[in-house]
Amino acid sequence: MLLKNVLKTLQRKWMQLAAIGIIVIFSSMIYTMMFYGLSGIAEPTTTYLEESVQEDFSVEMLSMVTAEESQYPIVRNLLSRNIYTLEDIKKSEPVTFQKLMDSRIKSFEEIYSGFSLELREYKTLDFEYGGKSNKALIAKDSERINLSYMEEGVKPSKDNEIALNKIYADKNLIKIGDSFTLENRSYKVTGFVLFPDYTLPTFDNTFNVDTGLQVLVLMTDREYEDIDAKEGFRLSGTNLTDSEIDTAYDKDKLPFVTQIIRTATNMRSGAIYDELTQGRVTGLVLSIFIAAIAVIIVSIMISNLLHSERGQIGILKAMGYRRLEIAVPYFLSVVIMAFIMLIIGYIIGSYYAEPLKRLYLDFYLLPAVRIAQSITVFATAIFVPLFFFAVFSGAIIYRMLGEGPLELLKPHETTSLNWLSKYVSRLLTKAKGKTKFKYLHAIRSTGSFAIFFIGIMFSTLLITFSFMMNGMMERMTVGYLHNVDYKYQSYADFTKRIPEPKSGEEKFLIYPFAYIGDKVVSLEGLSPENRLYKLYNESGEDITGHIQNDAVITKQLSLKLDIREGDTIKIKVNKDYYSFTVAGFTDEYTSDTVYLNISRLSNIVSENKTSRLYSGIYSTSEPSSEYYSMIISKEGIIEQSKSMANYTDFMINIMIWSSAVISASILFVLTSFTVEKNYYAISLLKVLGYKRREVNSMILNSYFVYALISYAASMPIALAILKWMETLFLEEYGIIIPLKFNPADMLKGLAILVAIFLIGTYASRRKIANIPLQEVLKTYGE
Amino acid sequence: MIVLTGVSKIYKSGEVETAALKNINLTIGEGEFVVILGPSGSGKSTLLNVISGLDTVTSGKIMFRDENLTDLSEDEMTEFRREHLGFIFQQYNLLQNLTVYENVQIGSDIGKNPLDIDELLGKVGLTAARNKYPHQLSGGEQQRVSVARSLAKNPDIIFCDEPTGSLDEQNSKQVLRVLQELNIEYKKTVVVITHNTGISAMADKVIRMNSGIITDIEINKVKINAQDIEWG
Repeated sequence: MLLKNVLKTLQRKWMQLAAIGIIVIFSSMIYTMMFYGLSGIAEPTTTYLEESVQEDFSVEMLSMVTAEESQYPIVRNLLSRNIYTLEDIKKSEPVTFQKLMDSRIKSFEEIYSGFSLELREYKTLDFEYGGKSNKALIAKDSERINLSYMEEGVKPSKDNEIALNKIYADKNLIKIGDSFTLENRSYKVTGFVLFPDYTLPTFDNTFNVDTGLQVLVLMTDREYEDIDAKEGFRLSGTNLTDSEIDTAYDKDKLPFVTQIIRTATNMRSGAIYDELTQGRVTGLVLSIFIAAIAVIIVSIMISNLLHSERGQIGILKAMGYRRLEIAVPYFLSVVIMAFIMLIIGYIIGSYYAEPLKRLYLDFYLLPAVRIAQSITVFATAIFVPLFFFAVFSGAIIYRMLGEGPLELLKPHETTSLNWLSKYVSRLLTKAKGKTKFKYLHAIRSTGSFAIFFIGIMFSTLLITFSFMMNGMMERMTVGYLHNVDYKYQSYADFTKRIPEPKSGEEKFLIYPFAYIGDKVVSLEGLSPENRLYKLYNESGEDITGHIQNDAVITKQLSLKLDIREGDTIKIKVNKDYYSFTVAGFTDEYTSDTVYLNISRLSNIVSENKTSRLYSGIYSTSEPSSEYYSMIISKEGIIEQSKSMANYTDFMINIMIWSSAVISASILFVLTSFTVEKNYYAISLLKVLGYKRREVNSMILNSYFVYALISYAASMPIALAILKWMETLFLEEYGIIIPLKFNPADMLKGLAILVAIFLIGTYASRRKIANIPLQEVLKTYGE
Repeated sequence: MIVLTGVSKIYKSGEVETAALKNINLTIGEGEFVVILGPSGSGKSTLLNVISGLDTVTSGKIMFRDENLTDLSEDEMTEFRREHLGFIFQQYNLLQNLTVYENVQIGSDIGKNPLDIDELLGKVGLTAARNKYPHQLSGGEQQRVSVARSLAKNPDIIFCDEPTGSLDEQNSKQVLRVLQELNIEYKKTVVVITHNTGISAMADKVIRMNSGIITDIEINKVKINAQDIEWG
């Protein structure tokens, strides 16, 4: 009978219970979803990376001969023919190229004993597929390190066969046996391949990781050599012992090395490790955070519930019911309710783990298996929060029932004020009585107020991050391209005789092997009067003219090396140093580039032999492919990045909606509790003659002011976390995350918060309107 | 000041109808001290509720000066209470997180021509307790705060529903003395509902009720001081 009574009491509070239920569901759902989602990737990933001998580190090297190598007799002949890049050497004299690479590997292994290297040859190619510009990374099949892994099907054995990676194939509806055209040649797809050194499809220095527009390709060695595409080289390394490679190397002994990167800190191959760890930590922290909020709210609710039942409990005690007999129905109701909600959260979490896994696999190039249920995850998602619910609820119920029947039958009286109330009371000494009431009643309970404050802060952080992320992908990929007027960037094929650029074509010169300190930077020479690739700073001002005598660098480089405007940078080209004043930063986050006057750069690169060197042209119309080895369409690159922007928009919406649901639930529960607690006070205010709007304002609007304070307090925290994230990514991966704080977003965030507040307090406003005047005549107790 | 003509109030609970007030005709004059007496269930609280607009009538008319209260909307009734009425209840209904001064201020804030709070606190003998919180006061002191709060906005009428119901004799007389002083000094109309017959001796007009009807209206030719009433 007692249980029936408690259930009926809870039934009357179904809306509050539903709101609490949402928070409880969220806590187990997020944990389950994150853990199952990640475990669906983690296990097969570990096996795959071990079996296919993922590199432990990679050695990035100069793609041209070094000063020392240029002295080799076999190389000297090539230089006399103006062939000095590795790509051109391989095309002209493959045997010389192989000797050169063997020599590099040998000199590295002599210094670094205990480590083994293998040459990694790969080509990148832009091509049209389905009317869109796509990018392919064709890796030559290796023998010892970074072995190709066939997810399905078989490796290509004939020159007209090809293997692609599965996600790309799935997204483009390509099946095994279908034909696939690359560089005007048709191939038969024999299987789906993965390369362990490309767990993330970062094929170039833009942060475009769209797996629907970027494909990994494996073909026969002969076909690989034949296909006309820009080729790159690096050395893949493995540890032969347990010791890790030292990434600080002696430049004099290894002049061809530009960087040694451990896999763990290599975005291309190792980001997945951090993703798995961080994903688990995020899942755990978020669910603990939400579960903690849920536990405290449930505790507050039980406390309120029992307070409103004081009289009834007093009567039961007076009748002779034992404390345990009264406690059990309350306790059981709460625990059973929490259990059901946690189970629902677990089921929803398990259901959404699969899409989450697919979401990861949308970015990462990894094999996947079906997600298996785990008893550990189940137990953690259900029983850990349930334990806390049980302990906290039990403690509150037990404490409340400790009072004697007479005490319980009397109205409860407040006997002390918390420090916050005292403090606010002092601040409001000169305020009107209703103002004091308004701001003091919301903070009467320290626990409730803390929950409210944290809840709003949590929502603010998510909303603020969402806005800061807005346009991030664009800035990281193609944002700057919208500013410049060229349509095609074409690299000249110097094995042919290039005609002089026509009208509407502008030369550029790229030298990607310069250094500022230890940092490899790319030098790009442009005409200070050029029209097709103008340099714009963050404020959108044209600073192209600054390169007449000075240097302009990308914002990314300025952040990485902490270079400020007016600083002098020393650029090392070959063995010589050149000093430039930094006259401005371009609003670019995709490369570490120094822009210089093209004629000056030509003189530097050619050691004052000519001021007319160039690498290619920018143009508004597509030049003939006869003279240009690579023609990149700006629109194609922009197109490639569009789906990434869609993904970030999706993530932003999820963050905003999740924060809205959680904070609206918190607001609803807390304000409805407030209305219940102030039932008689509200009635009294109405009797005294306070109008409906005044009562609403006095009871609910104080929360609004505190919400604004919480919002304002969250801003510096959000900005500090943002700064920390930027530093973390810069230090870990050398990537700048261009999150941007726009003061206008504060207003947008505020608007969202106001909307959440109005939605969260809507029911409470209606409840206030319905409180009868006569309530004040009944036994009153605050 | 207040004229009730044929006022009835019927409560419905399912099929059952209970007449709490039956055809009440009554006049309360400006500045009068009125005591309504009656046993439990006699309808005195219902009468106070309908006169003060806390509840609606089933039939009949209530005039306040030239205004028909039964025609007023909810918002207009709120405006009326705000301007003209003060209330004191058996329970003190103080706001626990506000001090004595602040509780009175809550009443004063909505008055068009409020009284001085410090003066009022002096009048009810609580100047020294102005910064105390309700839980630091005795029952009598809390009820005196409630009296000060009801008067702070300077209403025309003060309705008191069993104002001494929770107090001992000494505290009760103190509260009644304050009410009497307010009636005389500030010319406020005071309507007190009580089952304590002794209080009737300090009234101008005594209305006796039973089973929802007025059984007797008595005009006191001589009023006695609150301190001198015979406590029953």
